[in-house]
Amino acid sequence: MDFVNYFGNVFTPFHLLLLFGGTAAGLILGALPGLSPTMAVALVIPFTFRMEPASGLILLGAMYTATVAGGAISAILVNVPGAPANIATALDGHQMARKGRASEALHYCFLSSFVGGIFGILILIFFTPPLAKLALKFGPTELFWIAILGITVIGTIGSKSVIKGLMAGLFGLAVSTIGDNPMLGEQRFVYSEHMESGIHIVVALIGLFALPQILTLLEETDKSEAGMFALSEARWVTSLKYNATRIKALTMGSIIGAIVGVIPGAGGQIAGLVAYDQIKKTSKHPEKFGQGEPDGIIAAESANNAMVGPSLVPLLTLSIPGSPTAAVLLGGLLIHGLFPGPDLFTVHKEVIWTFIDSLIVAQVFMVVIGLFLSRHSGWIMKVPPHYMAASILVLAVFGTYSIQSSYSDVLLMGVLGVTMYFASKLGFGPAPMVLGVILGPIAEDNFLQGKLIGEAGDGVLDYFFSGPINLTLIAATLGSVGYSVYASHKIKKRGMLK
Amino acid sequence: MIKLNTINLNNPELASAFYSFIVAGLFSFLSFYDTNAESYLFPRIIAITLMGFSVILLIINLQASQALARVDTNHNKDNQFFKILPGLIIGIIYMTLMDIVGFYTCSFLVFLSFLLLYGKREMLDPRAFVKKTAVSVAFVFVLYLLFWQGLHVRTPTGWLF
Repeated sequence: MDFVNYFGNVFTPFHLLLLFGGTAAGLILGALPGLSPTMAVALVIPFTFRMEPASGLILLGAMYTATVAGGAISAILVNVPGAPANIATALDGHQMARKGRASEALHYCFLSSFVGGIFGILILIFFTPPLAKLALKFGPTELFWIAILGITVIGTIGSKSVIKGLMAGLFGLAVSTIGDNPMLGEQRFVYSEHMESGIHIVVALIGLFALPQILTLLEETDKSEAGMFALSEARWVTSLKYNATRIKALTMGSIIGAIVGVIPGAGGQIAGLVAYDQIKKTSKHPEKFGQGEPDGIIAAESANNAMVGPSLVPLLTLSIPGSPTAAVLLGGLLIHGLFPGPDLFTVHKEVIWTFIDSLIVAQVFMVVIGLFLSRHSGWIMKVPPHYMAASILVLAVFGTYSIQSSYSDVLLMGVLGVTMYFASKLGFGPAPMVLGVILGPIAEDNFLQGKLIGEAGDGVLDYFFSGPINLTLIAATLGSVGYSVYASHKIKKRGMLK
Repeated sequence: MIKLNTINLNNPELASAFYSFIVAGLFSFLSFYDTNAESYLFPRIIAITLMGFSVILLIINLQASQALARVDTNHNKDNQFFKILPGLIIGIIYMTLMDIVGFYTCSFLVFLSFLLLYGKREMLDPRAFVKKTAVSVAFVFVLYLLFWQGLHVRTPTGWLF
């Protein structure tokens, strides 16, 4: 019950201010159509750099929680999900808005997000410490395979093309090798003075997530405004009473979300869609779904928020992120000197429990601010894309520069961002590449250590390919690739048959 | 057998395979040519794996492109590029000059340029111009108050701050 002891740390004026600001900003950024939650969290990381680790993580956690819920606002009002996690919400949410029940739909969304979110955090609290103890048994080879598994999972399950996802991860690993060799200190791939220190994690995060977003927003500047439905009057107490009666939708959504969240790389999109599908299949009136059925919103939103807590379980214990945004959060942990694993719950337990406790309080802020926005969020939909693009560009440059007061970082961020924009046009996603950059140094360092130990013992190959944990991780890596190849073949076949 | 005259780089899948093959080849060359084997061991392993994947991707897409009819040039893509081009140029100028001119001055000019160049074309409307200038000033001023004054984050001051 360690988590109870650190609750007091959350209730300082500064932390409450961060939670309020992070939640409000996260809800608004999540609601802006075209802005990804992952980018929003990546953009905030530099601003946490000068804070105490606990404060920085509180801000990032609040943003993460709120962006997922905020995406439902645009899904309901303009039928454009703010994030992939809100696709299922749009199916019935927008239909309710068309019938003049937009505020009511938003009430269901935030109330069920709260229930799912709290359930997910409880999973995080009770499952993380025992799993972290398992990481005590990890040596260099296990850590190497963990890094490879993390990149593979995000590259395969989270990407449209398995091979491109894996290649994006490898490109990320390649980028991470720029700079000093971790053992010999010799500089590699340094062709300019700007590359001497290598690529900082935050430079990669902002370059790969924020800059392509700016250019994509500029593409959309001529698009006509999406038709928005007015926010009607609705009493939140009435919605709360109704929500409390939807036990089946809430339970199903929360459990599915928590299960999907623990699976590395799966993310909120899958959680929301699976929960929506299941509640529809088990409903007495499946024909009402897609016509404005509140259960559709309740199941989808409780699922995508229940995913948030469990997505941090593999992240905090094994450094495998459960979603792309969790991958960004991994960058946030590392820049504060916090390495996932058992140390987090022993050496840094005050920081990590304060962070986890703050997620519960962030849920409370989320539901309160969310219910307020249910009546007053129309203006968010009207922010023109070029205003967002200009703001993100200035914040991206500022954030990158502020990390090390380095002009080189800004130039590298620009080069990475423009390259990623064109790479995304060719079907390469930023998430596996970012994870490659983040986990690259961990993979290389442990690979070289393992090689040295192996050479002194029974041989390098034997050392890397023996032991139950190594073999399990290798099997999981191959299983992840195999499953993704099988799934993509199945989808292609279905498409051909249609 | 792959017929070379049917290869069409306007096919985005084939183009992605082709470009990734070139990048993987370049990375392999840089990892192996005139480098210390011990220091470059990890990059070399990545390079070989990357090269392997890029060859597989190329073969898959070449085979697929033989099965499909020629894909027409996507003119929409060119339009998109011309749409982002001004923003891209402004961004490059911004990153080049912020160190010389000063971060806050540059940020104001960049913000205003984005508002004037994109969205509704209202450059000749003095009221719209004043509004956009005011928004740009306000944005940069808030940034200055929050970070320079509040958090004491120092940015390049250059000639004009």
